[in-house]
Amino acid sequence: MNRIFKLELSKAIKNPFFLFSIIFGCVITLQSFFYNFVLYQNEIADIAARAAVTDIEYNPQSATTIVFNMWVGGEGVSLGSALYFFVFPLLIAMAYGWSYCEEKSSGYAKSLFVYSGKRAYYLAKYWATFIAGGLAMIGPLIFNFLLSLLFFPAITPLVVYDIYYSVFGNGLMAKLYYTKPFLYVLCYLGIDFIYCGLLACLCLTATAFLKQKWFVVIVPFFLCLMVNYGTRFVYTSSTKVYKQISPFYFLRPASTAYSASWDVIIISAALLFLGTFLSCFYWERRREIY
Amino acid sequence: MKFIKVLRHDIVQGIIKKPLLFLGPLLLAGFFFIDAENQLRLYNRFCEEPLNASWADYWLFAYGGMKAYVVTANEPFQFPISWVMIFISNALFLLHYPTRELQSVAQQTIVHSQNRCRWWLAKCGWNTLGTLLYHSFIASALGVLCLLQGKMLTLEIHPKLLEQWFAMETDLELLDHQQLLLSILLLSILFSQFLNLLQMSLTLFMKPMMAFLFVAMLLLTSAYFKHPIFVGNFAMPVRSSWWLQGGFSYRAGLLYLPIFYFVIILGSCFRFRNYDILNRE
Repeated sequence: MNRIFKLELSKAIKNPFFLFSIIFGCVITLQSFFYNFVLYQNEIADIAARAAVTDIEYNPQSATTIVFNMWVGGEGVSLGSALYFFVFPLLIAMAYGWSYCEEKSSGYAKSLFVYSGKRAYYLAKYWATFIAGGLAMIGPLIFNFLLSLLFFPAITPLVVYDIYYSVFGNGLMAKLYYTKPFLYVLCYLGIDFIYCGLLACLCLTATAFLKQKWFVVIVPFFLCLMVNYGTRFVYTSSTKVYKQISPFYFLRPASTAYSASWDVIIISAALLFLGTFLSCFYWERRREIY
Repeated sequence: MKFIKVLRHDIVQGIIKKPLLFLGPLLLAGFFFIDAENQLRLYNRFCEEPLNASWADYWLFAYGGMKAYVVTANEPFQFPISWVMIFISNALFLLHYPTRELQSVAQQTIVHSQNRCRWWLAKCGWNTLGTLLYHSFIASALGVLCLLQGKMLTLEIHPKLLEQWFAMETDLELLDHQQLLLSILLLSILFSQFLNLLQMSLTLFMKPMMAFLFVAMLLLTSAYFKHPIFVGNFAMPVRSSWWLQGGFSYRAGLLYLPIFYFVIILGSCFRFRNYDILNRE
């Protein structure tokens, strides 16, 4: 059990697609960094220019441009941020979501069944896909956050400037954001890791119906698109405040249209877990392999 | 094996035997119609003169796109989901067949056709036909739904309704030009053909999932930037000169997109001549 798990994890982390997902994700988030860096530099130059021409003391509003709203997850306006939170279902599935489909069609899975047993193989495959998917999501986010920490001030956000942060009173963990922002970022990275890990495991379920590995990889992305389109039938009132149900937006630490909620995240994650786990262990495992 | 014979094979295997290519657009059209109906009901509830939408309104609702995104601190970017769904679904439906062929019977077919370019051109023809059918299914399904629901099956446009739907003003006096509407319709299809052909050609250079990733990024970038270099802008009627003064010229779109289309065909043909078709995954 331990050996197959180690083998799967090593395959998941060391494969070129996983590296591609991480590197490509980092490149996308770099656009967001450069965009915000230029913005920040302009602001500093503006403050210096104003100070040079006047003696009047004014509020420089230092807390409006801080690392917590300048990193890729904290802002939703740059192309890098928009792109990353649009293509992430493809990147997380690309990391290792294709492996079961490939092993199944090449017959390699059968050898592993003999080597470790079906149960251990499926369990190891599930966790390896989960971990690779989760890491592919948070890897570029951590890279961008650490990079942003080098250049932007880590001032605790002030509630009076909430319009600059996109985290409002009704937002998910809003209290944490305005008191312990590092913990907020850490918690959100945890949410993203778990949710994207589960989303990547959807590829295992899709393998039961699809034979081409690259087609399997697109399934999580398409599901997210369909859920996103489904919001048009849910958000029907212009006066009511809804909760965000689209993974494209609720996995982003800064809220976009509506705020994220624990209910939506937990229920959809539980559904994803049940769907993927059961299909893997009860459906695929009982299938005749020869 | 003649070109027409290869094309016929592609039409049978890649279109007629692909129910998703028929069902997908029908389902999408159904969702677009229901969505537009909900929005229309909302509009009529608060409007003094209730409107009855036409086929052109429903079509524009689905294909309209989004107004140009202006970066402001408290307005995060949200992509136009209907527009993205239309083009990305088509790209997905047409991604499967050529890749599968290359992995299976292509080696035999290419030998029989005695010319690699002929085989590839047949795929380009199949791709174009598949795209045309996809969009005509959406348009026809919207038309049938309009008939069933007692809507007008015309090219008449209700500017007030569209202003409400896309949250932007239109250049009202220009809106009677129904020929222009047809040009815009044509632009959407041309863009779709360009996108699908680009994706198919990219599979000669990279894995299909990466080609799909590229197409998805191109769509989002086109929605984000209002710039002609991101050709998706030409397929957004709400950003066209027809909709607003200073928008993208539909004439430029009708010129650029076919040029890009033929450049991709030529480039991919050239690439396919030296493409290793053995031992493809």
